Formats: sequence, C-alpha cells, structure tokens
Amino acid sequence: MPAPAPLIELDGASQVFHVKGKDLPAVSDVSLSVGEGEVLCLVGESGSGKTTTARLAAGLAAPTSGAVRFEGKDLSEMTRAERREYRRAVQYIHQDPYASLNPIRSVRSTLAIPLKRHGLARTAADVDRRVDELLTTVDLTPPESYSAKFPHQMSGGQRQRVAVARGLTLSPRLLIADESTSMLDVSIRVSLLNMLTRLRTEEGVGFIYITHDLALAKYFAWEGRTAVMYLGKIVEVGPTPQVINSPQHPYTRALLEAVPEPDPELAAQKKAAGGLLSAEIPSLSDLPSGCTFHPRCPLAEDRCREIIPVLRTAPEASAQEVACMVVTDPQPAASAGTAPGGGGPP
Amino acid sequence: MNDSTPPLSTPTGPQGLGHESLGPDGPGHDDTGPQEAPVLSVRDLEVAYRTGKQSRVRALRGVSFDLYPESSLALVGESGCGKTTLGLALLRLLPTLGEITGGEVTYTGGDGRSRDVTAMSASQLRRWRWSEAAMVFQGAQNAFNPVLTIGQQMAETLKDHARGGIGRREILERSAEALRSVRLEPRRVLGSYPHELSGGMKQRALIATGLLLHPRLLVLDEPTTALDILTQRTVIDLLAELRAEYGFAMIFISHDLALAAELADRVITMYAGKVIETGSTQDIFTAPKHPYTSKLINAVPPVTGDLPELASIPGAPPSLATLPPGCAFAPRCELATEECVQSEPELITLAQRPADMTHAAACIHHDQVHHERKVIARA
Ligand SMILES: Nc1ncnc2c1ncn2[C@@H]1O[C@H](COP(=O)(O)OP(=O)(O)OP(=O)(O)O)[C@@H](O)[C@H]1O
Ligand SMILES: Nc1ncnc2c1ncn2[C@@H]1O[C@H](COP(=O)(O)OP(=O)(O)OP(=O)(O)O)[C@@H](O)[C@H]1O
Ligand code: SF4
Ligand code: SF4
Ligand SMILES: [Mg+2]
Ligand SMILES: [Mg+2]
Repeated sequence: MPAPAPLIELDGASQVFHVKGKDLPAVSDVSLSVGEGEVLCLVGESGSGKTTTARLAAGLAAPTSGAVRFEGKDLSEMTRAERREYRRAVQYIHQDPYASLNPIRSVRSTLAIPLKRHGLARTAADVDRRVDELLTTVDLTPPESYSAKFPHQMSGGQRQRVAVARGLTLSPRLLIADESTSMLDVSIRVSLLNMLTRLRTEEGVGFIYITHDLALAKYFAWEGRTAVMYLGKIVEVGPTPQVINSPQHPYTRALLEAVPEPDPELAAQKKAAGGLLSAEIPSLSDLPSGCTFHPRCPLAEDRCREIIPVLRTAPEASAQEVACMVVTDPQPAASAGTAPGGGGPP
Repeated sequence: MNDSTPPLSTPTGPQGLGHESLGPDGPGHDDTGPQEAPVLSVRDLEVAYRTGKQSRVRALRGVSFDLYPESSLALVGESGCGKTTLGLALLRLLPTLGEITGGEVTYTGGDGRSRDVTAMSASQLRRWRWSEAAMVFQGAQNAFNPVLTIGQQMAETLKDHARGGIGRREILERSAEALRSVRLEPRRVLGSYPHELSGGMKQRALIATGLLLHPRLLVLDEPTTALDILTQRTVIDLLAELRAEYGFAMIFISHDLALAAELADRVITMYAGKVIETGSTQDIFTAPKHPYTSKLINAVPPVTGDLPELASIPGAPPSLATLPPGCAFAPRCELATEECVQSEPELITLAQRPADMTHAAACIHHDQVHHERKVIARA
C-alpha cells in the first residue's frame, strides 16, 4: 500500500481574479501539502495571497487552474458525501473574530448550530455537554460563565477563543488559522498558540497557520515547515528552523530583519526598512517583469528583470527551496529569457 | 477638581508625590548646567468612567511620572489596563463618560512656562493641542473622516490650531512638508480619500497630521498594531528618525513589548490602572523586577537566537469594578504570599537613575523575581 495521501494538497493551484477587465493573479502555481499532525506556516506581507491560498485549501473558492486534493481526492471530483466529509474535516478560523462572530448569537448558540446541523448533538443535553467540552478545550472556564455571553460582552481574546471553539465543533482534522492572533494581547496570543499546539501533538490535527510575523512562525511551526509568499507565489519553503536561521531568499531576509525584537540590543542591530530598496508593493494587475521582486530586491541583477525564477534547492541550504536565480544559479545564465512564463516546482 | 487658571508659577512643576524624588543631585542628563524641566509632569492622576447612574470605575489610580524633552516612553500592559485612558487624559481627550477625578498634569513649554493641563479651559486646550501636544489614535483605519480627503483634514487641523491664522498657501506647504517627512508623496496623498490608501499609508498620514504643528509632545496609541511586519518596520524606523529630527518627546502605547524595545528610552508597565514598574528600557528588559513585567516579556517570541518557551500569564486582569484586596496582580502571581493581599504595594525604588530613568517596581517580593527565558531549542 502506498504512503497515505496528505490531508490537504495544493498542486500548482492558481487563483486569478478579474476586476474591471484586468486579471489579478492573486495566487500563482502554488504547491503545498499538510499531513496529519503537521504544521505549515504561510508568511508574507499584506496582499501576498495568504488568505486566498487558505481559502483554496478550505474549499471556499475553486482554483482557476491546478488542483486541490483532500486525502488524495480532487475536490472537483468529489461526490456529495465526500464533499460533506471534507467540509467537516477542514475548518477555517477567520482572521477577525470581531467580524466573524454573529453579534446577536450567544456563545452556546454559535457552537450549537454546527453541532446540530451535522447531527453531532441531538438533544439539548448533548449540546450542553459538547459546548462545555469545547469551551474547556479553549480555556474558557468555567464554561457556564461563558456559554450565555454575547460577543459584545467578551474581550477580543475571549472572542478569538470562541471562534476557535466554533472551528473545533466538528472535530476537524485540519485547522486553517488565518492571522487569528495578530491583534491580540501577547499573553492571550501565546496561550492560544500553545492550545493549538496541544491539538496538533495530542490529537493529530494538521495546521495551516497564517501570519506576517516570522517570530510567530518560528514559535508555532518550529517542528513543521514555513512557506514565504510574495505576490501570489511561494518564494522560499522549507523546515522552519532552516528558513528562520539560514534564510536564502532576499525577501525572507527582509521579513526577518523587519521583525521587532523584544530585546533592546538586538533591536538596535536591525537594518532600516528590512534592507529593501522600496516599501511599495507592486500591483497584481501590473506585475514587474522577470522576478516580480526585482524593484525591491537589494541583490537584483540585470537578468532578474527578464527571467522568471523557479523554486529550486538552495546550494547553501539543501533543506529549502528558493525562487531566486542569484541564490540558486550564481553564475549569470548563458542566455537571458530562457524560462518565459515559467514558475512552479520542477 | 481644581479650576484655577494656569499657568502655574513654578517652572519646574510640582515635586514628586508619587514615587520618591531623586535626592540632592536632582535628575540630570549631564553634570553641567541645570536640568531642563520635564515636558510633562504627571502626579497622582486619577480617572474614572461612569458606568451607571451611581456607579463609576477607577480606570487610573494614582499615576505619576515625568517625561523629559526629546525622550521616548513606552506604556505597556494588557488590554484594559488603562493605557489609552492615560493617553487621552494627558491631552484632556477623555470621552464624556470619563473624568479626571484627581491629580495634576503639568506641561512645560519651550518657553519654560508651566501650565496645569487639568485646569485648562476649552479655548486654552484648543490652542495647546496639536501645536504643543498631539495624539495619534488607536486604530488608524478609522481615525480619518471617510468623506474628506487627507488634504482637507490636514487643512482643518491647521486652521483650527495654528497660532494667529494661516493662509491657503501656507496650509499647502505645511501639509506637503509633513507628508514628505513620513515619506508620502504629497501630490498623490493630499487629494486621496482615506479608503484609497493602504493601512500603512494611512498610519503614516496620521503621524504626519500629528506633526503638522511641530508639537513638543506626541502620544501614539498602538501605532503599528494593525500593520503587517514590513510596514511596521517602516513606521518604527520613521518614528525614530522623526524624533531625532524634530526633537519631540514621545509617549507610545503598545501591548507588544517588542515595540518598546525598539523605540523607547524608558518603559512604564501598567496593571489595573496603576504604574507597577518603571525604568530604563535596558533595566526593564534585562532585569524586570515586577513578576508581571517579566511574564509579559516572556510572552513575546524573539526571531533571533534560541527558541525559548513562551508562557501565557494565567487568568485575566481583574475587573476594575471589583479589584482584589492588596496587590491587584496577586490572583495571577506565583510569588504571592499572605502579605501581598494585606495592602496594595507602592513603587519601591530599586536603582536611582537621572532624568526619571529610576527603576522602581510595585512588588514586595521584587528580590525574588529572576527573569530568564527557558530555552526549548538552540539556534
Ligand atoms: N475577491 C477578490 N477579488 C479581487 N481581488 C481579490 C479578492 N480577494 C483577494 N484579492 C486580491 O488578491 C491579493 C491577495 O489577497 P489576500 O487577501 O490573499 O492577501 P493576504 O496575504 O491574505 O493579505 P493580508 O495579510 O492583508 O491578509 C490582494 O491583492 C487582494 O486585493
Ligand atoms: N468609555 C468607557 N466607559 C466605561 N469604561 C471604559 C470606557 N473606556 C474604557 N473603559 C474601561 O477602562 C479600562 C481601561 O481602558 P483602556 O481603553 O484605557 O485600556 P487599554 O490599556 O488602552 O486597552 P487596549 O490594549 O485594549 O487598548 C478598561 O477596563 C475599560 O473597560
Ligand atoms: S531573482 Fe533577482 S530580483 Fe529576484 S529575488 Fe533573486 S536576486 Fe532578487
Ligand atoms: S506584591 Fe506579591 S502578588 Fe503582587 S506582584 Fe509582588 S509577589 Fe506578586
Ligand atoms: Mg489575509
Ligand atoms: Mg487602548
């Protein structure tokens, strides 16, 4: 028997939006996979396509090209029953708990609806028991003092936990947590991350965790992988310790340089603006030629304006793949323009 | 509250009633010449919010500190500890349900004149705000009026607050200068509506508005919280540069201690409306002496070096309406003893430093606080 298929797999998935007659390639040729008990962290600045990628993985949108597979099964070929099982097993936790909880619903009712809809709790007593369990799992204890509350009666951190509890109602096997912790108090953030890690290590839940902060990626995905996105593409991916400790792509380095350090000495050593040439992110409707990072890249060479780099194993760090020709192919290419329209893993 | 008119006669402001004064040497950057007066001297400030017909909660309880010219102070602490309330109270911008119920806020201008901010009249406040002290509010996304262009909003600020009136030409020049100082293109931004700008551009435009009249004091509430990491870096670097260039004193509010490490000379930790630790950034980060500060630091992941264990602080801050007896942190504190719940600890001076850099902590067991990070994995 072959090795079990990963829980979720994106295979050359792309998502192109059409806005005012223009094509916006929000996600281009992204391949990734997450298995049981694994964690993948997606990092990148605002607009790099993290949420769009996560929505593809959660089946909230269909890719315009490429495939999304759940346990090896292409989403577009699923039967209704398979699709139902996939919908249960993969849950997306929204980035803004303020927007995602219904203000007129109590905590109990927020959690009871999916339980009833999927037939996981039939009687009121079943619902109560399950709601108590869920609230205990997310450390909202004692549960009775939270179940009757409405969103406006809770703090941001408590709301965030309710959003997580809702994501857990259907005992998912893959949780996609989208920047679910960026606005939170540091202490609440840590307790949420520690709780999610417990779900992963003790119950084998797989995770896609989305953030723009590599310090959080380092902490949450140390035992997993980190993929760095830029303008819809993965530009570096590998085991988190390697990506953090020996970043290869100049964009990954800039993201690392930018992280504020909770240590005045380290903070003083940070380079201005993360070493980038420009803070402006190019528009998706008018992408720079060649490597789309070249207008901001401190290492850019002439050929970067013409050749589109593809993900390759880095010579200095074989654990990770990098889409940067200056890193993977330090000798100037013999002929320019060899890979028009290229991209994606070889 | 005291309604007498400013200015106060003493240019140095009231003497320390909060934590102890600095002794015969007095605070000083150097040994020569007299120490400049603090821009802001806050003593025993109390703020309460009305929560019902008869009920009020005390959101600030006896806050005291001095802020010296051109220095940078970080206010840190968990959500609800009173950071925004303090910022708003300093500028007399509290919402109608909030009220300063005691204490003094003394502002000393570049001319050496001191005034009690808590006693200023509405017209005095209008002249003082923006030109002497400005605030950049929490939540940049909503701070601008959505139906006015950035240029119109900057013009309004200038018209309302510039001394002795201001012409159209000068409005344009000053707005453009302020925008350029935060690296925004005036031609593009002046005519833009807020929704046409990215979060980072809006945040920079807000900082530019705060700087329009070259205030001596700038209060920034969570200036980077809603921004992604590269934009945060831009704003952090920009604030450091602007402060060096314009020489304003800065108070910034953040729940993220990493920001304090980046930008502050000095840190104040707040808990349940009180200052519970204060000291130079160096002292606070290397040897915090309040268990709460130590735990806050240990909840922030570093990106460089070893991977430390991060631990959250158990429980939640107390409700201001029903504070526990004694030390407000006691229900969450591992070091708590019987003694801690007897009476609320006062700030204890641990190391004397000039210019109000003195390290002080409100913990009776401060000598048992040994700050360290437990390493899970080596770099
Ligand atoms: N429904 C849509 N229609 C048109 N464009 C879209 C749509 N959704 C996303 N985009 C665009 O796709 C790009 C990627 O957006 P996405 O939300 O995936 O980024 P992100 O990495 O999650 O950013 P952030 O950190 O700000 O959440 C952006 O330029 C965005 O404006
Ligand atoms: N308008 C108001 N009416 C009543 N109580 C208020 C009001 N504004 C704030 N409070 C209370 O005063 C306390 C301090 O609030 P404040 O906004 O100053 O906290 P903060 O430290 O800025 O928190 P955050 O990090 O969440 O911004 C809180 O307990 C809050 O509930
Ligand atoms: S390919 Fe060129 S422009 Fe792109 S990241 Fe590498 S060096 Fe920079
Ligand atoms: S006074 Fe006691 S309870 Fe308060 S912080 Fe110190 S040890 Fe903890
Ligand atoms: Mg997103
Ligand atoms: Mg606040």
